[in-house]
Amino acid sequence: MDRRTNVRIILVAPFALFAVGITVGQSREIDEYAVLRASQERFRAVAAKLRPSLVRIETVGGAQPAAPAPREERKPPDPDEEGPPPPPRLQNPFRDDPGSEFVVADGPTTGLMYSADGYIVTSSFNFVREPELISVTLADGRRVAADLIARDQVRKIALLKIDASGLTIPEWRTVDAVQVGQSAIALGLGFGGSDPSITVGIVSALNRMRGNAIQTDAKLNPANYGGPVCDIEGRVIGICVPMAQRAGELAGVELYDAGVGFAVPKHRLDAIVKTLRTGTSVYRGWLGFVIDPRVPDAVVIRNIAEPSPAQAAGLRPGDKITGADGQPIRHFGQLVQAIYMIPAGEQVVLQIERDGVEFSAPATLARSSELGPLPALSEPFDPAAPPPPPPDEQEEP
Amino acid sequence: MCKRPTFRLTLLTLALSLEGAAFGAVLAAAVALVRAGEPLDGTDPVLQAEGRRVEMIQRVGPSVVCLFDRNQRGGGSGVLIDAEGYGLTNYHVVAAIVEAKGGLAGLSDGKLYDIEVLGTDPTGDVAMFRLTDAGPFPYASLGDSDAVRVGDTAVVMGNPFTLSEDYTPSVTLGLVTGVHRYQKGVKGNLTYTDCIQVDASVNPGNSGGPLFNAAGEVIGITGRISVNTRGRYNVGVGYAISSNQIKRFIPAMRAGLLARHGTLQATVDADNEGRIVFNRVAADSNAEKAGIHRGDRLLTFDGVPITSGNHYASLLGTYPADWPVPIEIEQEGQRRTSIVRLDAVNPKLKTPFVPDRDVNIRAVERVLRAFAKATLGSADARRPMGWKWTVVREFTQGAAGTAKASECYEMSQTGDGPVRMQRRYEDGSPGPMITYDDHTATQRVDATSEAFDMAPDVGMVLSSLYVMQRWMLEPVETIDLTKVSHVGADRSVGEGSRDGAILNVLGWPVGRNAAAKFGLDTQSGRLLQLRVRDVPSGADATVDFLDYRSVGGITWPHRIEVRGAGLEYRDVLSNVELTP
Amino acid sequence: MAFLLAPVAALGGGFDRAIDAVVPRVVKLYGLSVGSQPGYGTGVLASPDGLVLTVLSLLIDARRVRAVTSDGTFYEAEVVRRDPSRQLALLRLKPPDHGGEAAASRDPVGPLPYFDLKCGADATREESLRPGDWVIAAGNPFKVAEGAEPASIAHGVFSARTELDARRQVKEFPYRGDVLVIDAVTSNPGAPGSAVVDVEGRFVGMIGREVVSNLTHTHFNYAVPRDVLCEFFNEATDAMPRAASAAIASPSEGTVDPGIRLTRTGYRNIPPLVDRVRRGSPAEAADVRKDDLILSLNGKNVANAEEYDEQLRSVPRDRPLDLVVRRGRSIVAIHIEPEKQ
Repeated sequence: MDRRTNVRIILVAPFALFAVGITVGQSREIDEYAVLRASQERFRAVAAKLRPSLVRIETVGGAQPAAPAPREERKPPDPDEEGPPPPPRLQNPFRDDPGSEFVVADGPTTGLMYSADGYIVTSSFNFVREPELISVTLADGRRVAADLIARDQVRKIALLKIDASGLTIPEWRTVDAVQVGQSAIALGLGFGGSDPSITVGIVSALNRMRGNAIQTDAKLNPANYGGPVCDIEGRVIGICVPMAQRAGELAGVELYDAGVGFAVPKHRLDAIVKTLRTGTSVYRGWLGFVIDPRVPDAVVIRNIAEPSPAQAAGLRPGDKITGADGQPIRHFGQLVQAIYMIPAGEQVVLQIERDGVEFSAPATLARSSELGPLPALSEPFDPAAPPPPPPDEQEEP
Repeated sequence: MCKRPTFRLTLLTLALSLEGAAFGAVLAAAVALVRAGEPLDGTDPVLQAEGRRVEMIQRVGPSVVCLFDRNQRGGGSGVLIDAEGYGLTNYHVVAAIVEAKGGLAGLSDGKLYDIEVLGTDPTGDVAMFRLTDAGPFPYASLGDSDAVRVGDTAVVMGNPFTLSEDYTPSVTLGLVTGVHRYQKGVKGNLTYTDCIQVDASVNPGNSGGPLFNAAGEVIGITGRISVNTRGRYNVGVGYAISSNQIKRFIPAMRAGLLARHGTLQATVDADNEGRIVFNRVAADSNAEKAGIHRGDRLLTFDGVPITSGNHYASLLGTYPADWPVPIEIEQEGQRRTSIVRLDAVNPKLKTPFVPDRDVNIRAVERVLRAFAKATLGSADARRPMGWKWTVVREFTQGAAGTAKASECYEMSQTGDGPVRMQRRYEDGSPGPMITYDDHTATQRVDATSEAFDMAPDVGMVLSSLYVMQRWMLEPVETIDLTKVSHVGADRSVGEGSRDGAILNVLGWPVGRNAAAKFGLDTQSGRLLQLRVRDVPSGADATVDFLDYRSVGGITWPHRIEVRGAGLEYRDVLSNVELTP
Repeated sequence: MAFLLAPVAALGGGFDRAIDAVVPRVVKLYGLSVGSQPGYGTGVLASPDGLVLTVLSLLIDARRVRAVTSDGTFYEAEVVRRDPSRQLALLRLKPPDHGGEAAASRDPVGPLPYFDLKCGADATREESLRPGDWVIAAGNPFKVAEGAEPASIAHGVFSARTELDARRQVKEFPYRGDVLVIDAVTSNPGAPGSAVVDVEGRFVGMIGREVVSNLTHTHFNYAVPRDVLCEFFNEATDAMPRAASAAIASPSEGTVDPGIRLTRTGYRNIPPLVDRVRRGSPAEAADVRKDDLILSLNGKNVANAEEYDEQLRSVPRDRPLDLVVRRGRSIVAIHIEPEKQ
């Protein structure tokens, strides 16, 4: 070995020891207590950064949504029973029921300034009562009347418009730059007061509700529905809304504070606002058929409303649905999952099997008000009776 | 044989790599000296902490699966624990799958895979499954749940409310809020003993999914929550079965067996002074046979001081049937420790469990392959055709009442031939030669000047050792496994049993009348223990293999300790030669 | 850089200070269970000799209330004081009666670890706790912890300070004062009485009784703030509980009459529309006009005439009124000065 190499070794050796010392020392020096204290300041900084864009929404008048079934005295449920809780039964399979036994209270709710010309996004949950008057209080204390422009019943977003100047809009972060596990801070004005409430969680998943929502375990509830979910640097990653894999304006509210919450990300919100700005509301889409509950492991049509998208698509009782938009369907829950986020006016391509022949049937979903009645069947069958829940909801797993 | 690299070359390589590290470390140290409070950049401790969490989730997230029955109904979660696609979940998640004959697992690649349910532990609510496709699959490793403390990070992953449409798990974050909790089960099943309590969001659908610590190790399987009047939703109190408990049941579940829990068939209660005392010991139980009686005071159970009846029940519930547990009692003023093998709890099942022979054979092959790799270095290494060593045998409890006697033997075997034991006296002169032939199951003593009375235990041990040699000689694929079964797990009971290795146990009949159980370390693959029983006489012996050392590339035990009815000795090997 | 990726715990270990402060200072309580109210709960140690702060619940009405400290020692607890308006109670630990020995001969209780609730007589509402601060609660939800087993903890962030007001329509719950909203689930059986601390381990509040809104059917997660607990704790230990918060004045003091008459049609639940403004009244001076729709009074929304009346009744005579009204399409804020006496 030449002298140069020798010298190199001699020079490097003490350095190397130093490096090892630093490396080992560094990895033990991360002070978690200091991280917690610093994170508290970060959360407050996020609230302060977002405050100018937050609005408090107050409504006057309006009625409760359709009366829910009377609430029986609740016993604590059996904690050893497993499986997801069964969704509340719906009276009529095609009606836009509230989807929940929750009752909407009055009290302030939250909105976020969307554009400098006065458009505000919030959750359609806050307008379930169809109020007569909407008043919006800006961060600087100005209180202005707002108009409800339109609502997206599927993604639970409502668009308001105010006439005011000097409005602040927040910084956004698109979902492609968001990672599971990063902090998620939700802000709300539903508790009254001028400072927003803060709840902290993480981003639990990026792609939920057919790509319409980011999932978070921050505690989302009526106090922050309509408000922003932000990252640790104060960029908005989504708008909090209640959501569930079934119909109903209040569907999803039962998940309040359960650590499963949803936020509509920027790219979806932009597409939604583009439609709502024109004054066009977006409604739940229905196909207009009921399935035969006697067939266990397949989705077979039992009866079709007239008129209905199912009828227009040429479907008949007895048809078996084997796929929807390319996804195989083996039971009714999968069909619901495939179409629950498709609004009226949009299309789903169903894969049908009839008498051994397979074919595609595109169907354009319609509003429930556009569906006609179900014709009477030769066999007694009550279409208003909800289908029996699938086996996994009944037995002890 | 390869030449060793020169000293100089080694040092140069070392220096170069350290130099790189040194530069990097100094740079990073300088950067880290930047104070917090500056605008968020890569050195901000809050961002760094977030980054670590994100990185951990990205690393282990793909090992979490969504479980369904074959119609993609139902919702549960699971976690893969090795590259071949073996995974853990709750028993109550697969119970439905077993009835529907087969299930599906959704992985983060967006695809559904067929799964096969292997063995189950209904009492403890755990089960194992396997992806039937060929791997390799992403997997997570199991951590040490005894190291978990209240206040530690808890990351839960799974499929609450079957929300996942792309099979990526939902991730929730919280803290460990309680340890060593006891949640009684339903009709004896689904009892969560010594479990971990968390406030990370756990909801229906999370069952069977993993609980990770901050380092991304699985420290539990979540499967239960407490609920209040609002319904079956997370209210901040979730429970996970601890990983250390699960590790004791994995060998049996991998082998497709029904993994039974252990019981002492004895209950305890606190007396007036708060001391824990046995108030009932069942007749004919192993505890009774070990000399434990009603009225005895229970001091420690598996080394853990017992503070209440609940504590005892909770700890007891973490052990499998037949597990050896040291129990320290105070009896008539005297303290003593007995190692008791737990009796079995039979879970109540709707349909009887039928073990699958194919699953069992696959588990046996896996264990033998690991054994070959641990001993020979790889499953394909050249096997020794013969072996030879000198053994000094020290009797601590002798046959025929001899105490502390010491004997020396030269033992050898070549190929398929008989095992030879040549006695050597201290002056070097030869004594009797014993030969043992497994094919004929006979032993012969070469009578010179002494008659040699060989206890049946010694014969059993020899024949079992012979079996081990055969495994060494033959590739796994050619071994006749029709008589071999994987019979579950065991623990090597050394000093400090709590740290004793968990063993895969292979059962094998030896000779004409004996049954042997070979215990191989689940971690290293090595043979650590052998239990042999002579069926007609009921005599049994336990052999521990210790002090593994490398001999020409083969890892071999250099100390063998034998304990049996009336027989106790230690073999210390030297001059070990393994001839190719 | 291997060390930057070193698997060091984040969000773990950092709470040790808080956990070590709070867990030893709570006791598990066991008493009477009545109907849906569980017979177990939590209490906060408030003095070294065994005073325990907890919520007013039926469990303390048992003949024998037992308390277990974190080291597993069992005590009996007797009720010292009840406060129905704040829904709080103060207990005192007594050494348990084992063999019928006389009370005087039992060892005195303590010294026990405790939280110092002696906030000065001029205790202000100023809190060092701010929204965004981490909090740790320790208690016994679902009685998961038995005997000497440590209390369960829960973590969350302090979300907001708000009033538990009538609007939430909580059944049988007289306390209407300030609460700390926490984003952990605190509304669980056994959790009321849990101590809440900040990340430094300083006591900031106590989880209150389970509150479920009749209106929305939702559970509300909150803690009673330290200053309210201090007030209760420092009150003279006489039989009568102090009157409820001064914010609700008694009707006999006389209420303000600004001179506004609302439209009354005999139906319930109509919006508070101004029908007439009395000439020469303070409302006229402040330019309240006919057909103004009153949205809020002194910061509280009023949805109908009944609520307006109720709000007005709570304002003492000589105080000003701040109204927010809708007038046409605008929203106008009006300040009404009281009549000079």
